[in-house]
Amino acid sequence: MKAVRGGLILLLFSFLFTGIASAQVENQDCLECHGTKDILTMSEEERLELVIPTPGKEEVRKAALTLYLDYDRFRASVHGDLDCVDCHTEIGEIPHPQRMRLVDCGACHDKIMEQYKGSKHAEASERLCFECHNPHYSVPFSQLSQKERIGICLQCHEEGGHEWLPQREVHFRYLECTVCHSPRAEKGLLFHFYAKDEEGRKVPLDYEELKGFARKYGGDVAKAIDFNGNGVVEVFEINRFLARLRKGGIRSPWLEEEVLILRPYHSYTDEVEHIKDCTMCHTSKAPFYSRVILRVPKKGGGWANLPLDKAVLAKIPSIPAKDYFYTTVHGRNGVECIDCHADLTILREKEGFQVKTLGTPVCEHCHEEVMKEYRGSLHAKVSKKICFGCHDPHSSVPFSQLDTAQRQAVCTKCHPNAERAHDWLPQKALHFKYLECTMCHSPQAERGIVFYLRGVSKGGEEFPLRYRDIATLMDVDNPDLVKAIDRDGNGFLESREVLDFLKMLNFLRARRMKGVETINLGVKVLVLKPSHNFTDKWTKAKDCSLCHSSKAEFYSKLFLEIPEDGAIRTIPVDREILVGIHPIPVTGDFYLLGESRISKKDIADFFYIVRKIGYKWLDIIGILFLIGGISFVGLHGFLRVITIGMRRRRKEEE
Amino acid sequence: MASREYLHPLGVRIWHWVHGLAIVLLVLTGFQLRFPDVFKLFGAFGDAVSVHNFFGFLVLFDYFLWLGFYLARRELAKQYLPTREDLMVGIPRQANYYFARYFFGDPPPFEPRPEAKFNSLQKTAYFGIMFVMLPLQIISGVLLWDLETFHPIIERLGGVRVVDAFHIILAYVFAAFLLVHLYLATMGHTFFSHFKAMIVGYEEVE
Repeated sequence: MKAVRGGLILLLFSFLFTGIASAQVENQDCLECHGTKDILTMSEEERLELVIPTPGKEEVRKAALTLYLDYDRFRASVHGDLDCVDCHTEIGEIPHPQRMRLVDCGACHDKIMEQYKGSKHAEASERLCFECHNPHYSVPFSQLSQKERIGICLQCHEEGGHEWLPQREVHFRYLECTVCHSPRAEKGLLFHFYAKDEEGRKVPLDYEELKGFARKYGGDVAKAIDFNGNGVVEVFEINRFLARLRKGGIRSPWLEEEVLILRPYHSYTDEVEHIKDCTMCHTSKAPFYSRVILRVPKKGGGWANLPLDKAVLAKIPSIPAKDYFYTTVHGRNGVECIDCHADLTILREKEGFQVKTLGTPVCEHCHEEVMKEYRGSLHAKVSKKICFGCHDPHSSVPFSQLDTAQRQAVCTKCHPNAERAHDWLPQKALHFKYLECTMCHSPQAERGIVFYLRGVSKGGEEFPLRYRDIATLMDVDNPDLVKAIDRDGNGFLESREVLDFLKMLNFLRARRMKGVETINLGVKVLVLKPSHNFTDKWTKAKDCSLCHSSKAEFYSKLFLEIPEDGAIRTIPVDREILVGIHPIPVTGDFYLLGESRISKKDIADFFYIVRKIGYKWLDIIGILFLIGGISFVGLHGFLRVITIGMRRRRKEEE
Repeated sequence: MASREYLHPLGVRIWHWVHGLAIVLLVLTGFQLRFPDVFKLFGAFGDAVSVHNFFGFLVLFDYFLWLGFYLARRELAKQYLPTREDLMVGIPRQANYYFARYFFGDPPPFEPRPEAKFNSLQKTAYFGIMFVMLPLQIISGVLLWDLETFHPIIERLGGVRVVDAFHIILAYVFAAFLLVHLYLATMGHTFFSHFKAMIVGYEEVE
């Protein structure tokens, strides 16, 4: 050992005197010192003797790098074809200076440097390239397994955390950190062949096990699968190959998916809007669905990556996807996945999981009132249904935006033949066309009448007017329709205000909307605020007068839907609009319930109006007198004229 | 055969046309007062009131002339007071004539004579007009003309509104009557014979 060290020193001394020109510094020259582990055990003084001292110059960080280099490992690494001085450019001769500048990785990896420089990771950690990646032993990224990829991060970051994450273990088992933490990285969905071993454990199938099925193709498994040779693995090809595996004695072969980064992006988390957004992945629009790849083991190691037909996703349920969640009522109100799913530990039934039965529906956390009401109801006791038995929490549309048919559909999922039980109901078809079930079957629900602006085409087709239609009609870019209708701005629409607005629309329609016959009001009778107590006690009465009476509850809740840019405003409307006889047919096909029936209040109203007209009755009666006089004159005169001939003849006869 | 009867003495004819003109103008100005922003026949509201008042007093005046004339001639009851026979037989017969028999060319059931100018229907109608409605209209008109002076009386009758109500309703009746009166005036032997009679005094009768 001592002899070796002595030799080294001697060698260095000889360098000092002879000198080695930079062009001549070969890897072998470096390895004289750095290729042996002795350099690690030498004292600082001993090492100092081997280099040109640079007093006052500070040492740069080395991280996990050592002065010793395992040259064989280096040769196998991704940088193995490079010479030492390609990176360590400051070394022009040996001995080299004691302390030198950092190696500039950006000389080659300029794009990565650019990504990394602005990133949060760089700002917060000030980590340099080699503090995460060992440049001497780096394996090509694509060859790294998921575990190795996670390992890069785990050098600094502690394992664990992520308590909020549903299916934490599943996520950890299948994903690398940057799938979430590097949103701009290119992700792919990779499929591998898996099977079960004798003990029923799932194991990946390696080349040895698959090569027997590729004998016809010279042992090329990829070619054996893609037997039509079009470069894409289609569903029927997968099915055929899986069938062959089964036939060949492989136990329950299947494709196991894995989400991997295909091309990393060195900016971590700063692009993440909400890192806890599950729909970054759990939607069919997730980026990795655009790169679906089948990984097939190659002869002699490594993988062949075959593009896989996306149709396979429909056959093989992969990542649970919830599209459009953020357009639903929950998504729009800021409910994130974990708000409801944080206490779930098991999601998927496949892979030996069971779906956890929930004792208390998580819905109750927010919908406390509804649950309280529902729990006591007959529906809950008899059906034992819980919330999502009827409602899909992932695609819920706000109740107010559901039309009658959609509302009925909630019930008819379980009550498909509801119509049969309603034979007693007069005008059954009409009732079913216009009313939701809960109009009758939820006695405590709040009902109301909702009008909407509607056009009627020349062919008699009816369609609701959208905001854009009206804006175009008025020839104004962004009209404030509420202001335009509610002229006095009191937040309540007198029937005259509505009629004036309709009159204006019809005036414009006559000029600008040629295909439209008229614009009037459509009308719906709706549940405005549902009650989740669906007893049939009340309906047993089958009492028509609950609706068909002028006292019916919904007459106190009349609204007009006014379209706004991307939303709908509802404003209360004067009841008089239903009862009055107006020049514009407000609701030609809406002769319904009790509005035209005379109640005691109507009689009182009548006398009120009689008194209100007051002394003007004199003119009304007087004009009737005049009309009487004119009618007498007119009628008598008419008869007189048509009988002139008769009288003349008689006179002539005389 | 056709003969001529001197039905309307000169005084009566002059009275008739003056009275008629006054009534027409009262009706027209009355309409303006009632519908100030609809009819503007007589200029400003105040002008219409003046015209209305003038013709109102003219009618008050001519009413007494008419009354005095007939009282002096002792013909009032004979000409204007419907008898029991008028009411029971005359009116239905006359109505039947106007509404049915006339169209077939039947002769009228009544021919006017100087001592009995009006048929039963006319007699009854004119009685109602001249002895009930016109006096009431004149009285209510006078009361409304000076509310301050007549305040105690108006108060007793139930207030301005009640008096006004009477006046207005009666005015409409007069207006309606005027229309029918003009029309029935065309029902003589010829279309204009009654008009002519009211101008020259003589009427052709069978």
